[in-house]
Amino acid sequence: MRMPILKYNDQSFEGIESETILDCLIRNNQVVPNSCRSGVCQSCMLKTNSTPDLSSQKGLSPSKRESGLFLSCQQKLNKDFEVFKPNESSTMIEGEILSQHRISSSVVIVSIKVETNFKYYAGQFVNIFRDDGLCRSYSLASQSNDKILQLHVRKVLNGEMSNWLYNSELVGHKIKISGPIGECYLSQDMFNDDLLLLGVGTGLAPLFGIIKDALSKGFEKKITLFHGGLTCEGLYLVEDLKVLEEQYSQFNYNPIYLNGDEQAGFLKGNILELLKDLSLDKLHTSVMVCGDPEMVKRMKQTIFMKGVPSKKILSDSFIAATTNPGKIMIT
Amino acid sequence: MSTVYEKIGGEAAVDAAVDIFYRKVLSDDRIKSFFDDIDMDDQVAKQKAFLTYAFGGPANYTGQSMREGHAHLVKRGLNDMHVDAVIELLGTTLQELNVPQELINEVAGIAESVRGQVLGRNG
Repeated sequence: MRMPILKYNDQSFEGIESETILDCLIRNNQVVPNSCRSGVCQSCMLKTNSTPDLSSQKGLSPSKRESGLFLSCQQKLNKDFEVFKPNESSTMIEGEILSQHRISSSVVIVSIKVETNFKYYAGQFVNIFRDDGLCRSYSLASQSNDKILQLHVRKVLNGEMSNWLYNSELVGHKIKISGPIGECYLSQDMFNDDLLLLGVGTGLAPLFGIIKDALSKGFEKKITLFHGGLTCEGLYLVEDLKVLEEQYSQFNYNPIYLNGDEQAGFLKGNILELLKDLSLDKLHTSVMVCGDPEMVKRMKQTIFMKGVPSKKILSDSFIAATTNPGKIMIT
Repeated sequence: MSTVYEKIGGEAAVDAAVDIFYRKVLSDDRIKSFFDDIDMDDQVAKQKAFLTYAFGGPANYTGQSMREGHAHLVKRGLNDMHVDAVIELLGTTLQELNVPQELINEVAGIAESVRGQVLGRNG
């Protein structure tokens, strides 16, 4: 009987008796992060399209398990496997820019039509490649599997991609897309929980798709959205969200900003302070937190300290391109 | 004879303890500054590894990794007082989970055994 084959980075390795996937990769001089090798620290996490053993997905959130992530130190190479680094993608598809809707002086909503059957969950993100190879990550604000992808792009100072997407006339322009990536999305087991969605700035994007998805899929529990901005003008899609709030009784929308004069229909204040006093069903609430990394970190901690289990707090930090080449996220 | 890890309840015990323990750490003025600027997901994974180790479970920590993993904190002033606080919070966590005192003592003993390595001392 032949030994199982492990495919990784366009290479194939033959396994040896009772070896784990991590062992096999290391034996073949591949660089894979790892630490405890006990299935605890999760640093050796990889992704596969094959079905991993239950034991190699222990401790991972349902959304991570559903997206094929597993711990390579816990997975025996007991059959043929093809594995990937979690934040890389094996596929690249082409998209055509359909529209650029500049909804404020700094945010443009870019719609991109994809031809291929592109499967994703609302809330995941994609990598966008310009002709010259420039690449940035953006969250998907469209509903799961919608063939028209929507991105919320905030123009950032010296941000090459965001300024290009905001300033240039790009309708009809072709771009390359890879992904989807990310574990911050609505999974089936969350349908029994209330949903608390916290976004700052264009951190609204993934949450916007998730809200539309949940409501159209018959989500019946409470959905509470807090969208935070530095100023009232920084908030966007306010009217759309207010319409949804009127339409669906279980959806509650709270736009909140930090600086400026009081405005009717908006909360003014510090979102962290507001969260400290928020009443919630702490054991039966799933929380998703998106946007600026520092704010994401602090909002997660605030919610956790209120008693929400760590496993029920998902997040997506928009990390700036210069600080982390591994996950580039400029919006 | 079963190990402390088995007696305490194995992985389920780690899962039950990790959030309680981490909340205590983040609330404790003596040590929270070492922890509160770290992303929660990374920190929860690390706390689980630590608890698994302290419960005598299958975590392959080595003296070397303990030393390297805490070197940057020792530079920031990590000392015996902070290790005392961590062991104390570990104890109160397990008390809350109704773990018998003799098992808590064994866990404290395991945690105590890596004090020197965590603080970067010889031996």
